[in-house]
Amino acid sequence: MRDDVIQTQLFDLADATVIDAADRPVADYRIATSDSVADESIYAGLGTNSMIEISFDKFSDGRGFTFARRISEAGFAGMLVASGHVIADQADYLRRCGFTHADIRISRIDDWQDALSAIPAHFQHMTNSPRSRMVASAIRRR
Amino acid sequence: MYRYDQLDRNFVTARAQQFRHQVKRRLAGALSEDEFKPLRLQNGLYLQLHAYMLRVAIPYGVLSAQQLRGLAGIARDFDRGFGHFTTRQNIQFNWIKLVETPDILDRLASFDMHAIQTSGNCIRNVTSDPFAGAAADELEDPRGWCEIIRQWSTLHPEFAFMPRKFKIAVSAGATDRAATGLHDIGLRMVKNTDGQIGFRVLVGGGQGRTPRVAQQIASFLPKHHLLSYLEAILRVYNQAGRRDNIYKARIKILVEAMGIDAFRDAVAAEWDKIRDSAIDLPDAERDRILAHFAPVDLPPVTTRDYIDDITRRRQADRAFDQWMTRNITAHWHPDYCAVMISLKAIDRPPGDASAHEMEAIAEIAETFGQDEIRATYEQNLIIPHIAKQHLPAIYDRLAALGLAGAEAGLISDMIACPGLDYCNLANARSLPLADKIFRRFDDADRRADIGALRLNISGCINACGHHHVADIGILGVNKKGVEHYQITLGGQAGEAAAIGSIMGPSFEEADVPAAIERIVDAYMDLRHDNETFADSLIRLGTAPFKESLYA
Repeated sequence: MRDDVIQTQLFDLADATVIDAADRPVADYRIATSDSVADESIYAGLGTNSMIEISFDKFSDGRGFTFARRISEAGFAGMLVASGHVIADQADYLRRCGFTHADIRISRIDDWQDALSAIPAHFQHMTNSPRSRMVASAIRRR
Repeated sequence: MYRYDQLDRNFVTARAQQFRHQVKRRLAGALSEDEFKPLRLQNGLYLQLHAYMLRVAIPYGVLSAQQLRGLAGIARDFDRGFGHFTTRQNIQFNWIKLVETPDILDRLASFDMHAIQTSGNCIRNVTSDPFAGAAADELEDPRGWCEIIRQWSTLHPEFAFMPRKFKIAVSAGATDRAATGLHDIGLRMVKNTDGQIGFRVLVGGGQGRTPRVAQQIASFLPKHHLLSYLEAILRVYNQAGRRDNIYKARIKILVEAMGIDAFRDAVAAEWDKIRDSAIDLPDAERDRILAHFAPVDLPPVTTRDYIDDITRRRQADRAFDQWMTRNITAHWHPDYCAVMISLKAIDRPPGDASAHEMEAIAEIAETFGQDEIRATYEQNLIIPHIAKQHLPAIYDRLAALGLAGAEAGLISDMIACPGLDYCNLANARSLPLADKIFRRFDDADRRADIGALRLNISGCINACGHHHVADIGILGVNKKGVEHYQITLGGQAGEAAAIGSIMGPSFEEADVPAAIERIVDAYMDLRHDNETFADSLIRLGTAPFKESLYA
């Protein structure tokens, strides 16, 4: 039943490219949105080659956004991946909460790429993820 | 008022374009209805019984005359010629087609408006005192802080998928005219012992099936910490708020379950991590926004002959006199006042205005009122800056439109939700009942004699008609397939926010107007001189009123 397996790849929320399936790193930590993040400081010392995956039980379960911001703000410097049920329309929110990648169905890549450029400005301070390359682009008048 | 610059315009235009694309993907099947729903809700599009409804944001109730004309155009071109002003100072259009919605959002963007976050589980349109910037009793104009909250909350990346909707209100008057005690977060501007102005922060208020009055989480929050403190509250809620039961998902349930002290501690722990971060606004950006709300430049009044003119007219014209008594409010400038335009009348669903009426009101604001209009919590409109010399002319114009009702604050000034005529959540109709009650009290002198009395109607326990916080509240219930109505007494939305008490068995619709009349008659018999209905209720308790109700 190979046909039932949905092929996903990691989509880079900074430059809209995908990582080849063969090069896909393995997560050091995997957190479900139904878990709780008691202490984000434990992730602060991990290096740039580390990876944390936050898996959304449902795209409308917004806990993952707060987890990502707390982990990023604590100083985590590696890859922060949104997986599970996330949709293209959340791309900009994910990126601005500190996610570096989303685990997407490759058939949807056009929607993800469009979503990153849909809104030209934002009104919030953005979580400063070290890997993000668009921090300076659009922070409103700040 | 706040005026968009190019960045703001590009933003709302791009947002409308984004939604056009999302509608296309929905129609092509690339988005499921489940996935599309929060996207349309956060663009104001809500599915009712017979059609889509579009709820347009009127930030803290402030409209320019040009924007009101724009809304009239939408009512005419995309609806059936009407708009409906809501208790959250927004406007709803009840007969909208999904495929036309992107065009409406484009139209809104063309006059610097949008429908962003007027629905859905996100931070909703911030509400405030409709007299802000005009009121005589104001500590400072709260609108600048409302605008800061509006911008900060707009497409906030962290808080678009919360357990449930989230409402914030700000009030800076000596009395609370924004019902801050009934919001997820209520902000009262206060002065501390050092003479600094900041915010008293309330949390966990709300209506619905579990009505709660908000509790104090901070007695004084310095202004420059506002956004980081709000984020700390929202972070706690976004992580710990219940997601397993829609009826227990509001922050009021979380605050109650944790207890206010434990909740305050949890917020303090989050705030410690972000309180001195870049989340709070840089001073220059704060000043740029606040500068839009400098006191309005009012033309000086050269002659006070108008005082005698108005006195004579009041003596000769009873309807004008009543209108002056009910609908005119003191302004910080002694030669000016705020004028309330009542959207309550027989044959008019509370809060409704036609396209023609909106345009006529816009013209009055352009001619006499500094181009500004406000939408109120009570579903009326206000022109906040009117030189008193123009009052007779304005009254005559409003009277010609059928909009000069002297109803502000009276039993006729009913708040009512759309009810079963529009809403798929409703158990019972609200609008026809409001009309029947108005007709029962169709004598203007009698209404004036009864005096201040808030009567609110909700068609179901979700309480959009705010029945919990009315002197007399009416709640629609379904009893074996028949519309029935429960009556509550003693609710308050303002300073001493309180939830009304249910009196007893419900009534069929046909019996409600007489039941209300029995309560009112009891008050008329029992009241002391100058005692309002609410004061009588406090002095006597509900017992004598309940006795009359079921007599």
